Amino acid sequence: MATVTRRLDDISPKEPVIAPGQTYGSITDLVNDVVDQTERPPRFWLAVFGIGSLLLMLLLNAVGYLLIRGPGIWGINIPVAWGFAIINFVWWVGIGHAGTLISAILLLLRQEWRTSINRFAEAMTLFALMCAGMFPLLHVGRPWVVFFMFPIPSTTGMWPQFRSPLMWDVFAINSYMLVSAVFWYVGLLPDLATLRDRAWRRWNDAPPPERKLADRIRQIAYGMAAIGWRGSARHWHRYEMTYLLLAGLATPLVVSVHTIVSFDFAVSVLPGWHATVFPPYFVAGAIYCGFAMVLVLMIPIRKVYRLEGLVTMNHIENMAKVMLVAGLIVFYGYLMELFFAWYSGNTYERFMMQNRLTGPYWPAYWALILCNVLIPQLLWLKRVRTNLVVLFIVAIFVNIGMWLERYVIVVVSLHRDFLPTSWGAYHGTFWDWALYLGTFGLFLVNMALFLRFLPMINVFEMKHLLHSKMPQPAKGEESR
Amino acid sequence: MTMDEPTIDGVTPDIRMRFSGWSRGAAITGIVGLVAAVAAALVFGKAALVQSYLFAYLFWLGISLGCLSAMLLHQLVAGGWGYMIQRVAEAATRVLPFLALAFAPILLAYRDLYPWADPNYLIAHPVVAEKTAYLNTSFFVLRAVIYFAIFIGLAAILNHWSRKLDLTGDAIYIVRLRRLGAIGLIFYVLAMTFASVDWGMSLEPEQFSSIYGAWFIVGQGLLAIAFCTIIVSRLYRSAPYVGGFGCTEDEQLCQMIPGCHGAPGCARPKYVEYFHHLGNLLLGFVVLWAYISFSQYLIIWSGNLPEEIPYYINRTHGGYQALTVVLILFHFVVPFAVLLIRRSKRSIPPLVTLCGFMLLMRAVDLFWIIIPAFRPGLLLGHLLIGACLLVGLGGIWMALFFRELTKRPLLPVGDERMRALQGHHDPAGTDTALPTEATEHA
Repeated sequence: MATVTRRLDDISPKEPVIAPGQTYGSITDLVNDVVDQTERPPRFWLAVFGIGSLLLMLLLNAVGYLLIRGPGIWGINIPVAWGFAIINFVWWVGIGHAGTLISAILLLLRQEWRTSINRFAEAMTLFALMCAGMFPLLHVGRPWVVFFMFPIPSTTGMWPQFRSPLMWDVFAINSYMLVSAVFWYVGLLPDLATLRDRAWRRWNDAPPPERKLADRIRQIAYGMAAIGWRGSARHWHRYEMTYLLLAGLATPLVVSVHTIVSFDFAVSVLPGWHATVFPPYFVAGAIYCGFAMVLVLMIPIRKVYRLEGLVTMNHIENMAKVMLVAGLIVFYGYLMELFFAWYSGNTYERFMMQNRLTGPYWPAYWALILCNVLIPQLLWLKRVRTNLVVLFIVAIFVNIGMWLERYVIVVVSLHRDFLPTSWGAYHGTFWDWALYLGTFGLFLVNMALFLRFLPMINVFEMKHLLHSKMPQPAKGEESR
Repeated sequence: MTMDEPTIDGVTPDIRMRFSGWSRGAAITGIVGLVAAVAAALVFGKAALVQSYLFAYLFWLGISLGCLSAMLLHQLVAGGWGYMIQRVAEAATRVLPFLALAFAPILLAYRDLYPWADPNYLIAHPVVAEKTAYLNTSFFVLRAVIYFAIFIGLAAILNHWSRKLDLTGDAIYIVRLRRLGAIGLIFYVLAMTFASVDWGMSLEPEQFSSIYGAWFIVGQGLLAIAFCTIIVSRLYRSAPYVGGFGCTEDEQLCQMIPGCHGAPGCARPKYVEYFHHLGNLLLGFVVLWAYISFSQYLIIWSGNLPEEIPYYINRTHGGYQALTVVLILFHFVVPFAVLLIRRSKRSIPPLVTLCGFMLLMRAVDLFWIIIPAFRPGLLLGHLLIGACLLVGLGGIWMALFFRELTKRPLLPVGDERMRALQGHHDPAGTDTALPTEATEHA
């Protein structure tokens, strides 16, 4: 028995949530200098914007050709009538969920490490939802009559099928999108006002010939976006209340959206889809993939923009831990699917699982196990969680694995159902891939614009956090 | 360091007296309950006794296992709520060896419970005959042994290291407990999932539902939080809590100021904060339970498959529809509404009343899950014997629980994370780099 009592810090030291040496001023400058565009954008930004624009053009082509020719250009047919469109939809929606989890749920759980990554993650949510929303919209074949999905029987007398979870999806995704956007915007207000004031000061301080029109435009644009934020106590009071309420509203929404997405499959009777474990397992899968995406984006961005002092190893490690936990829940889902396919005693259930493991699409299943179950077990090691390169690679594997998971669920379950005479095969065509890669273009371009024009880190919340970390006056000196 | 030396015997004599009184009372109640159950069985038959026993057993097992999982989680996250209930929950996990013994009647009379044990049933139900590789007597017994080995093993290691931490204050045990929390939760979840299939789902061997294990796990978590909150509410005004998490001076006054951040010289009554957290956890479990219950129902209802749907037909006919409505209203709607209100979590009497109510609802839910499997139609004999056994088994369980509770200090005195929570400031302040210069303008 050791005679000296060891302290926790000696054995397992914790990284700070803000690096030492940061001040109110340094936080403001670090984040806002990017937006003020005092220097040329880094090469990294140009590369992201360039590649994104190219892919965006691919998207426009894919959509244009689709609208001319119809969904027949995709690989879908009976029996696999749902293909890439649904897979990509579920994948992008899942990515979006991490943003809401970080900004709303971690806020309600009072996790202070969320502060420097929430703005960024919420932006990711919005852009991912934009990409996700395109797929069902295009999959209906005639996007211009998509309003049939809304319950407005004014001219046709037709109602949508309220018993269908696809119908619930319309409501779930739309309300989620709305609340996410409002939540993000409300959180931006104080920072927009800061940008407005900085632009005004630059314009006002400069002698007349050197005054730049850009600063004036920026002042007006940010000023309009900030809708009159003055930072008064009343503003702050109302802001805090609104923000908390929106967080409370967003939390059930994030769960409901992916639950309903899982119902899209689970309420049918198809083996491989009809499983009661689907709702929680889909929600966990969404969080898993979303956190992986945040890491994939955050690791290079914090390096390029020198944000290591604000997004510290503490954040990175915590995200890795959340990813590990979500991954284990997903693994639990796989185990339950395997066990209950056998335990059901049902011929079709058992065949479905056998077909997944050894049928024509076996590489997809085993690749998914490799990416989602085996490789992420590395995250148990602190060395891996704090090694940016390895973590980046693991996160990419998780993103691929989660896409494969949806591929297995959609395609492998559909291609061989009850009647062997109606079995078939499915492969994505060029246009399937073009549309999928194209949405990356939409996502990257949006992300690049966001990095350039809006503060990617919540400045005033970081200052608040910094304040709470300052040395406190001795007890009794202060009343509060 | 202002803290007292960690002592082995942290329980003051007056509390020890109180506990031994409660322990005796519980034992007597328990014996009366068991005798009443056996007497009632003379009227309703042996099968009714065994079947009701399974229900009562799963309830009390649920408290112990819920406490085990809550403590494994607590070692990972180390929140104030966890320290409030740590010693209560640990004592509940130390009752697990008794529960392993109490499993004997189920093993002895499993033919009265599980239809798959009957060869004639297997001939009549070929789907079930397909599952005999899993549903057979020897594997059933072997699995039960494995489950209890995992549960008792985890509880033993948890309690051992927690004890060591008390005695030495060495942080190496914090690190070990944290690792145990992560790995132990995985073992617990897997063991409990398959245990719920064995003990609950296989009562109706044709039925299957892949969320069933999670349903039990969440139910156990709910039981544990409700139970621990009730016990702590009887303790928080006495010795180690007061001065630890309690208020040194005008306790009543502090409690009435919800937003009070601690006046000079006043240790804020942190227990209000932690009761609030426990209330939030309870809310979380209530919502999770409803989420899982509803998802399972919706998916099975809309599929309407012959293997699955009898499960819900049985539970919505023959008198059980009343219980179904009771569950929807009082296991979800009412507690959900009450727990949304901040005041009901920060004031101890309503919170404790609700916790007691939730224990009752958990019993109703387990009754609704287990008993309709045996015969369609509400069985009054089972209801009566079930109530007697719930009290009977519970009395013995409580007697052992209070005996265990006196054996250790009521707060984990050796854990530096808790001492940091007891102080005025956040523990994060000690391990977070402080800004060197913070005078610049905003």
